[in-house]
Amino acid sequence: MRFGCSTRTLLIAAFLGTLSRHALGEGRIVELAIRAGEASPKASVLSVSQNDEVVLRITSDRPLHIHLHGYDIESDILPNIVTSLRFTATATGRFPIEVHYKQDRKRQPLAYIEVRPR
Amino acid sequence: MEWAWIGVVACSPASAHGFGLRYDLPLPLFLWIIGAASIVILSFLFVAIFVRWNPRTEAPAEVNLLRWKTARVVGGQPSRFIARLFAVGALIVIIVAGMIGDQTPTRNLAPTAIWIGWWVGVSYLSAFIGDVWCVINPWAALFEWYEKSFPIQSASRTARIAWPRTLGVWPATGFFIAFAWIELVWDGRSIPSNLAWLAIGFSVISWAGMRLFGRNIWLRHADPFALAFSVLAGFAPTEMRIETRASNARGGGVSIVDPGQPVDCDRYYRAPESSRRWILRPPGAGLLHTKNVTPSLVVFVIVMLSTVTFDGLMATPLWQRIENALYEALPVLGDFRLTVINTFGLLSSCAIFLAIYRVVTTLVAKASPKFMTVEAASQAFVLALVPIAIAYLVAHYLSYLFIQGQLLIRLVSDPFGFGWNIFGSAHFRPDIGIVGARFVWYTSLFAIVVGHVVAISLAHIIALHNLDDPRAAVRSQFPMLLLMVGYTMMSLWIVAQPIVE
Repeated sequence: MRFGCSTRTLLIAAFLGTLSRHALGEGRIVELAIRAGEASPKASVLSVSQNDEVVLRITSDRPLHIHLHGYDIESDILPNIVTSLRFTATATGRFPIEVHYKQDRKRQPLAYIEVRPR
Repeated sequence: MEWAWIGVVACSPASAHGFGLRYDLPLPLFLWIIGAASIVILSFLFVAIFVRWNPRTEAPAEVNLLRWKTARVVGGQPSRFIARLFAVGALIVIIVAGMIGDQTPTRNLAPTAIWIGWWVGVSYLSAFIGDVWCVINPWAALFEWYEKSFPIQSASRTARIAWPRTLGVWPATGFFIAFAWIELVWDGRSIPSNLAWLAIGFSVISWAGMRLFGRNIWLRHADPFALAFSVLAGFAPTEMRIETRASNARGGGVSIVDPGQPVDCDRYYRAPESSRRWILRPPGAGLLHTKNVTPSLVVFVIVMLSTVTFDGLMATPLWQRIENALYEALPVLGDFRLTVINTFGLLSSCAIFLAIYRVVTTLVAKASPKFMTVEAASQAFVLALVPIAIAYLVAHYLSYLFIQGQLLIRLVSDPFGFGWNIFGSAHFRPDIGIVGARFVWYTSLFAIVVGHVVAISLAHIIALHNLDDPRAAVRSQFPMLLLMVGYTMMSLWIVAQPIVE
């Protein structure tokens, strides 16, 4: 029974995996720091899993209006205050977070939220 | 994540498409490997074992759909009239929306209707149903109605300019490259008023061309969309034909269905009902009609393929790196740097594809025991590549159609962004979870593998047709096999970006 233990562990892990697939996802806190309208590091990919309860914590040194595409979450960001956006990551995919300016300017996403299937 | 910090210059557009965003995740490595391996194995099996069918000796399995009443109604003149009215109405509403509507791309019907409803939607219908565009083309419909209402004008039909033979489909190829540039490179592609002006400009050119050269001559040689959709429809499972009755040597009235010539839908609708045939056939059978392929059509098909591939390439980190490097290296070009770089990319991908196809067909011609010129080889095999283009259209645009396409539900109720709610759907919220990453992964993989296997099989059937000897046919196909396996691996690689890095 050399493999007995590990098999049992695997079974339990698989069982827990099945549970967590159906149960609600985990809570995930994702940080995004913006300086002078740019995130650092630039255009990074913030990975979460499907059905996670995501808290996106954003700080900026100046007032901004940001938009998470796909989920279509928009919010004003006040300087030097942590703004928390909460959502459940139901849809999989890679969703850009962009700054929306008053004038139509060429935009590059600040970052991407990548929601991976479980 | 190395590429993340290399992207120092804030210059990459968020989307390489005409309009809107795709939220696709890249294909994971294990699926990429499964796909690549199955391509190689399945194609060898198909070529070597299954494909023995020679269209010269065996007719493909076909059914005439018109034996069913529903098909007689759908394929009848009144249905066409209604569909054309709808298309003309849609064209007018789109142009008006672009002109007077809200200029925010997502609040105006024009960008979504053009890039997703029409360009992606009609491509899919053409590839999987039949040459729908020929039936509904609103420009052709308006011109036909004009010709019918003013018979004096059309009396001068004989005085029209004859289409120069050498011109082939070069004008359509030129227009198609211009269209691809607008779709993939131009900044202003999602601004509603720009699109309205383009539609008006296209109308003027089309009608002038139809007036000068004749409607069908123009559509077949110079209209990039009529030609592109009809090329895709070569794969489709239906085809319109006319049965021509001819008496044979014994004098009996034997009916002979003209097998080589797929008829465009206009001739079908003009023919008496008794001689119309609406054929259900195996997918891809239409791509075996290689007799009428001209050198310019070869270029057109390769350009179609290369633009669709360049669209995918633009979304990869590799292209972003090239773009950034060129951006830094060419400050001389100022604000137009990105446009110049992407134009260069588009044109060079066309040139590279043409060059590779030329090399491969040279090898095929050399490997043929019977004398076959390079021109003959390139004309014979180019349509066999169409299933790969279709596979790529599926892999690349399916989630885009399902997710961004939902905007149309909202926009039909408020086409101008004036706050209307005509059909009560103005507040519809698109469900971005309608297709998940897994669905997109598996359909992409399936489409690319199957498209490739179909392409290999078609090329092999064409080779059998041209060379008769099965062994020689297999030998002549090794360069094509290499090309297609290579091409499909590249398509998978593009869909798999950037996880494979």
